[in-house]
Amino acid sequence: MHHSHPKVAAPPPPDASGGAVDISDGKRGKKRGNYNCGRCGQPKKGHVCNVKTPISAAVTAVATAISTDSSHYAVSASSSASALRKAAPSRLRRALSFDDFDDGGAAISSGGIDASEIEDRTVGDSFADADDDLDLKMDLDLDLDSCGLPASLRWEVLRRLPPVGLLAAAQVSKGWRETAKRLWKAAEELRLRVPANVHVGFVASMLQKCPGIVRLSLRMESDFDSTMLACIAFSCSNLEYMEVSMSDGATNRINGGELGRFVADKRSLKCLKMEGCSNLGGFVLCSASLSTLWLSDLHSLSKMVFNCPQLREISLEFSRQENDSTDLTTMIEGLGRNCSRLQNIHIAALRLSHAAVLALTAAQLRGLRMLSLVLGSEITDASVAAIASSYPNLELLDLSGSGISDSGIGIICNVFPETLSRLLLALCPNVTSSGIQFATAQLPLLELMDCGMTICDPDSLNPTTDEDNCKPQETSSTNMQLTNQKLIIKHSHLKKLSLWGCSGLDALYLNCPQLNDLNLNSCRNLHPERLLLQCPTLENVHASGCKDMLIGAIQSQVCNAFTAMENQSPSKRLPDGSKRVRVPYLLEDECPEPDKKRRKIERRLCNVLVN
Amino acid sequence: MSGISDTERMITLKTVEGTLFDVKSSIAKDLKTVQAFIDDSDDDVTSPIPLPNVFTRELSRILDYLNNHHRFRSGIEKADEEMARYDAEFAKSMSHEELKALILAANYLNVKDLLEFLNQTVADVIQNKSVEFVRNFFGIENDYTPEEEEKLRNENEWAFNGVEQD
Repeated sequence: MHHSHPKVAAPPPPDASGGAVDISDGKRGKKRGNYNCGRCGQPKKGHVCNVKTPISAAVTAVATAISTDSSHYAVSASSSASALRKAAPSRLRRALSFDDFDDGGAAISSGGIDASEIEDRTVGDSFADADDDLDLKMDLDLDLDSCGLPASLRWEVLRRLPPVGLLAAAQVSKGWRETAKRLWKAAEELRLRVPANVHVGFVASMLQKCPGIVRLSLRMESDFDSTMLACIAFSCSNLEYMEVSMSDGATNRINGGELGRFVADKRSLKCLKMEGCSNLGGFVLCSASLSTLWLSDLHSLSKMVFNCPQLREISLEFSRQENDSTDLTTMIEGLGRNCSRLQNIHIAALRLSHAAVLALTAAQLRGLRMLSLVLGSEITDASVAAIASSYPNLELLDLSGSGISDSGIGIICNVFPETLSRLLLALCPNVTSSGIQFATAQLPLLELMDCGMTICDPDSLNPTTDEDNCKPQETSSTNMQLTNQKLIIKHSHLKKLSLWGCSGLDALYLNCPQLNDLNLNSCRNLHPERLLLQCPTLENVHASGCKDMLIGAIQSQVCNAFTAMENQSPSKRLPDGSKRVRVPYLLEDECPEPDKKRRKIERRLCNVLVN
Repeated sequence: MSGISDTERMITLKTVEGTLFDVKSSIAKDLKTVQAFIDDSDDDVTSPIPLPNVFTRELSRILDYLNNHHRFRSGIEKADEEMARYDAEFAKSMSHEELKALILAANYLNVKDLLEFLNQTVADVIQNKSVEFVRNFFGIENDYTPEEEEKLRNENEWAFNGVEQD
């Protein structure tokens, strides 16, 4: 630092801790830059990275959450989102959000572009995160521009601008252009929204400014084609993480050959996530570095070969069309053969069958911890038995949309009680409340349980049902087993419970001291007087599509006895149309008089979300 | 080493105009430049520390900010909202000239948190504004020739949609 110091003291050397301006700030991680060194993952404060080490599985460390927009759980489809500690492509909706508990819910760099960020920008709405060494900063400090603003400050301000702002800033003066150029060069992560009708040259020129890019996220509103992919391949030689998400109306035209070439050429690519992959047709992916792969909207692939020995996490979502001709069994066999290090598997496909499961269990993937095979109605209890015998250490099991029954749950409870913390069985028509209750009783480590749309009568289901369309329950044609169901759940670890769409649920008793999130969307027949919630840490209760009396009952249950206390936050309608009713809720049961001090210290708000 | 605990000691700072400010040493810790000076003189600081680059108006604002933030942080829960509100008011209460002067002072004194906040504020202010605006804000001279400027403007044509008028 080059400031003149008080005369009495000798000016400290430039790299003294007192003098150097450090740019890292571990505190504010929210979407404002990567404060960890991109190369070794250590915090950048006072750190000069000489090490060229691969970024450790930073993907898994990133807490992500699937949006909890509960108004979109179409019965037939999108419930294939699973809790693999990842963010599904933004169009997938699930009524239950799957935060990574380990991270304490802190969502840094949420996967995918946050649409609310991209308001009025015409192009390039994102921000380049400039990471650099202290050395680079030293040069800047010696350079004051015409207004007396030291270049280090210029750098600090500019680096907080989105790419558009940075481009504009270059026009201010030559000094600014210099700083901007350095920022581009130092940028390691770029998140870009590519609007419709923008020439690929725009993306190309932007990418060329920042050759050091290691992480690239594109939100495409125009088509994504091989020219764009070639631009990326050409400009970003150090690319390690690439994510392409597609808006409605934009098409991903990449075919399998182009994708295969890209993956093979990018020797440092560790993580690839791509949406809209309907034109792939068939591919062979060979990569010695790839460890995470997410592809969605797949359809009718003639061949899927993964020669990726380092692959740890794979997510394959097939489109919902019925006439998918992909041979899943062969594909899974190949996965088992070539990717023996897999830890997390997520496959969402209507044609998942018992044979496919057998291929998986034959594969001996010793590291498998999270398994999600959803939408396969042909998956049966026998499949569960096979999974349980081959992979007894699973931490997450998601068999939503399958045909498993309470016996399958019995098998699960037999084999997995010591490891299983997340169990998802949404849309399993053969699961009943006794199965669910059994599971909660037998799985002590359970933290997340999703039983959406299980206790309900499939006959009364209208696939296009949504919150605005509350059909009265027709009891005449219902199976007795699926109505008037009662659930009593007492669990000491359960944090999230989803019973969305359980229209057969009549009574609910919950005693879960750690429960944070409860989803009762569309529990149309839950009787307000047969609801007992003894969950002091409850933060959110989702109750859209429920009868008003039930909502009232929920609110009174989560609000403590201090009703005399003024309700400072009346309900208000938020800009997105949802309504939040905030009810103050006190933690201790034996709370003394609500004097002001006490009130300020312990106050937990439980939101009842009625959408 | 004096036996007095750190939090009780008062440090005196002197601005350009000669005004003296008494500052608790816990607050002075956030003024890293000052702290370095104290450390260098072996904790024996009895006379006022002169700050030849800092004006009274700026120092008083900085100390305000720090005092408030210390109060927020050490106090009750749920102070985040109040703190955010305070920050917003703080930013709004200054003209652009004052904001710029404050940044320079905070930079000199090396007040990390405040700098972070001010940098962000300035970035927010100049985002989406025209090039002229930015020049005026900082008082920067345009050292481009008209041809160079024209060329740059054309290259970045698309970036100028949605720019606010000053």
